[in-house]
Amino acid sequence: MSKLQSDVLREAISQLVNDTREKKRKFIETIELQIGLKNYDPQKDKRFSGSVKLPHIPRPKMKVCMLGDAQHVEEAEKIGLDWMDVEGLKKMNKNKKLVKKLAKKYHAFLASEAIIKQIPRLLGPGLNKAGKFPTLVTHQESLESKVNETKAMVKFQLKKVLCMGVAVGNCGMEEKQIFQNVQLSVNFLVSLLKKNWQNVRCLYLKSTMGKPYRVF
Amino acid sequence: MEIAAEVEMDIFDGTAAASSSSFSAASTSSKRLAIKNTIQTNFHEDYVFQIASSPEISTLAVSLSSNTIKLYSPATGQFIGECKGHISTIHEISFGVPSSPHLLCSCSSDATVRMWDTRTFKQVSLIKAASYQEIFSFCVGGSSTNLLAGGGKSQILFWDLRSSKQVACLEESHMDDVTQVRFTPNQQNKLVSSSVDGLLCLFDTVGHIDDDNHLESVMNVGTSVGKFGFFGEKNQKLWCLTHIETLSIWDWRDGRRDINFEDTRTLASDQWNLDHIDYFVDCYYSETKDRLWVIGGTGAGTLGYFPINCTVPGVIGSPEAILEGGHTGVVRTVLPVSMTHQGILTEKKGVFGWTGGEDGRLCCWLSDENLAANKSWVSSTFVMKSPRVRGKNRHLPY
Repeated sequence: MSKLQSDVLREAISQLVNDTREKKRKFIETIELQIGLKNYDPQKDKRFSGSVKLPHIPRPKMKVCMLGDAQHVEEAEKIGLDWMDVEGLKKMNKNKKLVKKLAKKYHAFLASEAIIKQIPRLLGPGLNKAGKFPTLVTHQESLESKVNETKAMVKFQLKKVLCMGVAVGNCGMEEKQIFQNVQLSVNFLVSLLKKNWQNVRCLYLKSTMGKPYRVF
Repeated sequence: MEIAAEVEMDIFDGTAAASSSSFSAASTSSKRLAIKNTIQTNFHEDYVFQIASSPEISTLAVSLSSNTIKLYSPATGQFIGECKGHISTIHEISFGVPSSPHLLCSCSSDATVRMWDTRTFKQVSLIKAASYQEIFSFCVGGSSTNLLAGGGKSQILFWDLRSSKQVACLEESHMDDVTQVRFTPNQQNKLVSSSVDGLLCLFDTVGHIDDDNHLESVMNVGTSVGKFGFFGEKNQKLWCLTHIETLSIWDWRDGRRDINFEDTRTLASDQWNLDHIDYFVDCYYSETKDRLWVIGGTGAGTLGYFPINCTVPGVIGSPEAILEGGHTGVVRTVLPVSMTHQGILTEKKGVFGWTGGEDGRLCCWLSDENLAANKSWVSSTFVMKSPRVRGKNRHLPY
């Protein structure tokens, strides 16, 4: 049962999108869901942290690289996805600078089963340190859908304070899509709070350069 | 922690045979457990974080959110003493040093790992990390069993227990809080770590430990990992619970995931007709029966032991034990009796285990097969059963 009123949310999204249209920026602004919690003690209560898959990709410009075996390399070529094969990784010779450079070039990595096991040996902990260790992709699933799945994942983490932000969309998306993303993320996050809605003090939606709109 | 002798919980003896073939068995195979006693550990708003015990001594150690550890007698429920010293949140406690059964270890956000003598309640050892650190987990092991591994903020630290000196620091394999570190059973020279960064890492801990050469394998869980444990005939499997309350099963030797229960809470909730399962406390593995259960809880404090069929694609079965009426809030820890001194005693006192929660309560559960005893545990007020009261009753003539 969502305590998030649909009309309030729709209204906020409309206004937010309007604002961004009025004052055009040179980039597509990200829309962030800002959550203020209450009756929650970060020292005593369980950690509030994790990743959730949104129905619509919030960051379409996210760059993904496929570390693939022969079959995956072929698939990657077909869909115009950047890739590297075992030979390419071996050439890096565990050079920290090269691995760091690779990590910086992409937002996320995917890897075939045969390759993912070799990564610590071929590249060392460089990708770990960058927080970009690859996600496994098998031959049973479509590479394209895995790429989209990766792009649709957002991380949320509550640190020592009672507020946090999660990226839920961008100003290039349709209002309906933004609406669905917000609904899903809110319901998911609330389901992890022990007192559910009693732990939520307020919810705001804000575009990068815009002003915040309260939705709860 | 390896236990020399393990006594199995009676509760699962009857049901194992009945439900082993069908995991969609009706709830008639689930047993509601009765409470033996409930102890209120404090009269403030402090939570019980963890209960630890040792098979060799008869003491229950309970860590509280007030940064102290209280000790109780499991037989009488009597408060024995308190270990005070930590100045910040205690994250893990254990009687993890095999050669010293009275030594209780604890780690905390105050960047220390401390050791306490449970006979005197005094701190006997203090291991310090850098002041900015927080230690979220620790484990004793290593090829010579003299290594103390501690999981901190993006780092895994190693100390030599004999000298209390830090001998290594792994700081490149994780980029967020390391929530748990465990030496692998059977092969004590390997260590598994879990982190908020969503990774499970396997390290070799022989020789001089460094990230470049000792990181053997990485398993990407994909989301913040809270807890993991070993199971399986050769302990080659890992169960893994995340902070978004999902469960996955891995083969750590092969570095691959066997099963992923995407919506674990719903899968478990569908198996009973009580409230929705909001979180998971832990997993329990029976070595003698080679069976795994995930312990799910409701916000109101009811727990269920849900069996997991680990044959791919994996099935969560209906609960085989239900612990209701003990807690009034989120349950944070479960200690099965096989891990306690009572598990070793030959006379079965019928104790199933202990649970502790955010209501500050410590509950002792019975594995009483007599379901008619249902009525005895339906009680909304907690009663602290002290030996004195019982003694008084005995003297009443009528």
